[in-house]
Amino acid sequence: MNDQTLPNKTVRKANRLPREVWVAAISLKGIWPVETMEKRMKDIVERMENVFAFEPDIICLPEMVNISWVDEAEKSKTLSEVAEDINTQGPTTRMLADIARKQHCYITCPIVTKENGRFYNSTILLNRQGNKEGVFHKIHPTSTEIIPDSYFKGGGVTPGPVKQDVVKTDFGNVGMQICYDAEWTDGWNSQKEGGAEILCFSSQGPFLNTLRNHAWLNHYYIVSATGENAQIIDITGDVIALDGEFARWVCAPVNLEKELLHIWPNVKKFDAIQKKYGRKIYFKIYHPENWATLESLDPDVKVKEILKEYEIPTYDEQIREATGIQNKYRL
Amino acid sequence: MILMNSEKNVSRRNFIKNSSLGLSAGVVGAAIPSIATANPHTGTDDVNEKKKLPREIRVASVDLVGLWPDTTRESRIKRILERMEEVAQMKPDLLCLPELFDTSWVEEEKPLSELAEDEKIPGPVTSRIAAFAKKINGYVVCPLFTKKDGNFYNSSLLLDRKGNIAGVYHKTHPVKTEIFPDQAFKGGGTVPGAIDQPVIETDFGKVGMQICFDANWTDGWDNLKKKGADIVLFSSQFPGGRMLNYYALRNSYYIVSSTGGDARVIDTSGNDLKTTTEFVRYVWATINLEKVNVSTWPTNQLLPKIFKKYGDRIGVKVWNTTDVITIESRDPDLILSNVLKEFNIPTYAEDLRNEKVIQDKYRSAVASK
Repeated sequence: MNDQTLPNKTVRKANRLPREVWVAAISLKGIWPVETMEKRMKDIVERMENVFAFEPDIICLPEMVNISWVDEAEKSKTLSEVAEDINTQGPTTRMLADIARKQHCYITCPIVTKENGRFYNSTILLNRQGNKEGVFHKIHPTSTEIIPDSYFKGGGVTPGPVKQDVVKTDFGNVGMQICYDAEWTDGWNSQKEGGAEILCFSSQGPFLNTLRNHAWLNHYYIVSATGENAQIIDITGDVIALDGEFARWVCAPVNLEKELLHIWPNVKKFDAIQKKYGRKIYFKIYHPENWATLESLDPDVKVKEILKEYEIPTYDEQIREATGIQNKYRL
Repeated sequence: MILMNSEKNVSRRNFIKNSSLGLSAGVVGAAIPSIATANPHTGTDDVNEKKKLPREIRVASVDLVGLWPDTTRESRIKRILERMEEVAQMKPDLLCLPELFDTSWVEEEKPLSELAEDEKIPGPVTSRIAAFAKKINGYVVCPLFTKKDGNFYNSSLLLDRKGNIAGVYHKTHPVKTEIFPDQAFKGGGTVPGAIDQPVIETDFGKVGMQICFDANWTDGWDNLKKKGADIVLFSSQFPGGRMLNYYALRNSYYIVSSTGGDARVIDTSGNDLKTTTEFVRYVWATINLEKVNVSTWPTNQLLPKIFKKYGDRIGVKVWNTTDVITIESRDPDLILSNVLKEFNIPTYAEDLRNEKVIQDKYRSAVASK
């Protein structure tokens, strides 16, 4: 078990901070290749059971969880046979929906879907009742996924639109991206503009530093479940938890009551804020980047109210203001 | 960049000096004696010019740690020249200096009109750096205030091997206190440079420049890529950290940084090749411009065939932190583009462009229905 994910006791939801979210991700490493889709789902559910004790709010699973590197699917199933209807739950969706209900958590269900006669490489976000809360279609499938009978038998998947809605949950806004999407910035930026606070990434490939860059560029948490690893990434790009040979899963809390700031000149006020709020808040300084994060560790303390009180802009606000001034004075 | 002292605008220098958040090494008055002064061959790069490949160059950079704060501009120039001498023994083709190297965190205050130098004819400070460039027969980035058409700029002048001004870059994104008159600087403010600024042709390739706060925007970095930059030189007060690693990978160019906190050479893959330490406050590295980023998948499948045909005439590095493999020619007679063509390997950027064409075609088919 990863030390960073080892709790002293079972976490009680009542003891959490208002915007504390427990996120989990399951890696596929070590359970592929596998012969049948049934065995794959059995393996993945067994691995998911490791995180139930944490009472996670959301569990993120790897791309095309039921068919990635599954012999049965790759050798003998057509796309229409493995795809599940976007509105009517198919076998994989039902299985994961049942877990979502029992564990009272959100689960990402990454599968091939069909809608209006087209196939998509998708992630369905199931809510705590096991119902579909939202769906994301992979924006940037590889050419072999798109071109019929190249990667999939009996068809190809259609790329999803660049702008897709983030999903509102009872803990915050969730965005999604899938695998090759990591190589472009458009979808990630669009999810940021849509208000994403946590981005669930399902993939075959790990995209290590690429994901860390998307996190700091957009200041949201990333929960990543891939064929090679599972990781939870801070809004600054720091790794909060990473799986390894002793645990192929991660689960950790992330605090959505947290803001990224530019260090200068705001750092001049940090001492005064710390003196006033003591342990109710936490500043973390990122010296090389000249960033800081401020998070609330007290249910009654809101970061935005502190920033307002001390007239400190968020990083994005400061950059926007600076851009406006630069453009005004530029010849 | 905040230089001016006043109650209203407490300078960054003094704040850090008095703060527990400051870098302890940064407030030491004298430079830490350099281990490498006695033995410059502490790195992995040798200095054998004969072994250099056609597009291989040696880049170097110094940081400002231990040289700030300083009392006078003259003292600063003298001390940075001493540091430059240390790394000059590595015979760099290119040497990078930190932002406003002659005035950053220097207590002696002078108005901008006295500090700013011409962009065509080397002024007094530029001339001293130009003499150094000529002496080492290398390009040197000389970041200082410049004046042009009655305006002041926070700039980097690129001096060529003969000490002539080969090109200039104006900081695109100054902080507001640099722009507003009499805030960061006495007697005026600096004008933000254009977002679209040219790369500079050198005898080894195309060079672009960025300065400090520019690291918070992608526009300038992307523009330099579009113009074909092989290397981007980053002069700054703050180090830039992971932001620079990202820009290097995003744009597949080398970055050489020189800052108030460190100096680094960053690979096209986004990984640090060299970085300064508390024992050695300069870096040097031999980099090969006959090198490209390619997508890890599916290039990895072709590697055995490439090795079989070209052996060590080709240098390959698979980076486990990013999604690219770097491939370089290690043979003067081997043109890398020919090898890529032979094995039908697109560059990383080409690969993503090709894939996007297919994605957009199939996406638009849905949108049109």
